[in-house]
Amino acid sequence: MISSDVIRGYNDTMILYMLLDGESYGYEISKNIRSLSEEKYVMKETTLYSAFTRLEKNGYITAFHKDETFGKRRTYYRITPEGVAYYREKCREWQVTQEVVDKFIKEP
Amino acid sequence: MRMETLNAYLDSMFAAWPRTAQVADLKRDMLAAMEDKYDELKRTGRSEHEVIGIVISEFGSVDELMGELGISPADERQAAPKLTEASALGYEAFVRRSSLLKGIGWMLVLLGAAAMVLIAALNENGALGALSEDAGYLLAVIALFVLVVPAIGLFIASGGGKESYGVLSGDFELAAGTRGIIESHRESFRPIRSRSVVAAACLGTLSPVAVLIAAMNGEGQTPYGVSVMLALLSLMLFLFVYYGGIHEGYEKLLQLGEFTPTKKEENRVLGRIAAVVWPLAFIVFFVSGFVYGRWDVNWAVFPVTAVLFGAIGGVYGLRAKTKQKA
Repeated sequence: MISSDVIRGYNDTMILYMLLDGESYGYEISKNIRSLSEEKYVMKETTLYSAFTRLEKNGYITAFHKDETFGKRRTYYRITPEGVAYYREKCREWQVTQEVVDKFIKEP
Repeated sequence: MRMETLNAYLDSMFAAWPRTAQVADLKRDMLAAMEDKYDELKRTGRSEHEVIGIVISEFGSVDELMGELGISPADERQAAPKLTEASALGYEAFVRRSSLLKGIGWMLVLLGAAAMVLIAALNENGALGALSEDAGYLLAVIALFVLVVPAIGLFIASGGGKESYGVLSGDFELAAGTRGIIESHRESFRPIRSRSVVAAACLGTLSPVAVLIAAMNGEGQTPYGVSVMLALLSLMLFLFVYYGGIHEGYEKLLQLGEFTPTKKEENRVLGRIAAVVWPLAFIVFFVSGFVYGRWDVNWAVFPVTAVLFGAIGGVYGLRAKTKQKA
């Protein structure tokens, strides 16, 4: 399991990535992050919902309600054009970060 | 089980934080996500405890969330007083006892009225034998008092111990986990309450039939029917007051339905109107019965009052709502 300290700056990026293909809701997003990371990273519930709050405040995602079968009401999220732009920016930032950090990593 | 444990856990996690609409929304969403996670883990064949353990271990920290929302912990002094599990259960027992006493009290009042009408009718039909007419009427009034006086005693006794639960009339908060317990008690009470409402409604609607049947047997017989009707209504009132009281107790503990702040005000006003309208209906009923002898039709005053009162309540509720919007 990855320590959440290291990955903190990229939680938002992961969530935005999950929304690139279309709207989704809390549990689905966290489940997909878990499986995509091959169970190496599990986003905590509070981390996930803090990120939703932050992303929504910044206008990167919008929230809306959808009534499911069995009467369950879910909050869905959709990425905005600003969100896509922010995601691209974060991708470039990571490339640079990776390059830099790699310079200090010795192959074992 | 799943709902209660997760709900109680979230309640305790959020206990120190202000209960704003935003926080409530977040909490609801998180509960939904945790339930989804729980259901899916459960399908993998893991035990209940194991699944709850995983869901809770992946919860995280509320401080992180509140930091994001820019919310600081609720000031302990400002926070609504907490109702402990013991007090909540104590209140539940108190409500049951006091509703029972009130229910019996109201039953006795109507039975008193039934006895009075019955004795007066026997007297009028000369069935009291040796007693003079005046003595017969006196006996009718005495019967009323014999049943009403203990009823007053019961009403006074029903309030005993109420002082310990003063917190409930203002803003309060249930201690962590208590909400789930009270909710499950309310759930198991719900079918009993539904049956009591149906039974009471049947008694109420059928009771005038007694008057109609008696009236068909001759005019002098009508008051006997009235007496039976009042006895049936006394049962109805018992069901309403006893089971309705318990139901109200749960609503009050959970701050639901009638006990949200706006509803509290509305009920105060309607309560005042009811305190005037219903006794008035009874006065009309007894005067038209005893003075004018119209027992055959005067029972209609009750359904008419009920409908009018319902209309007043409806109009008032609507007005209160539009005022809120404005």
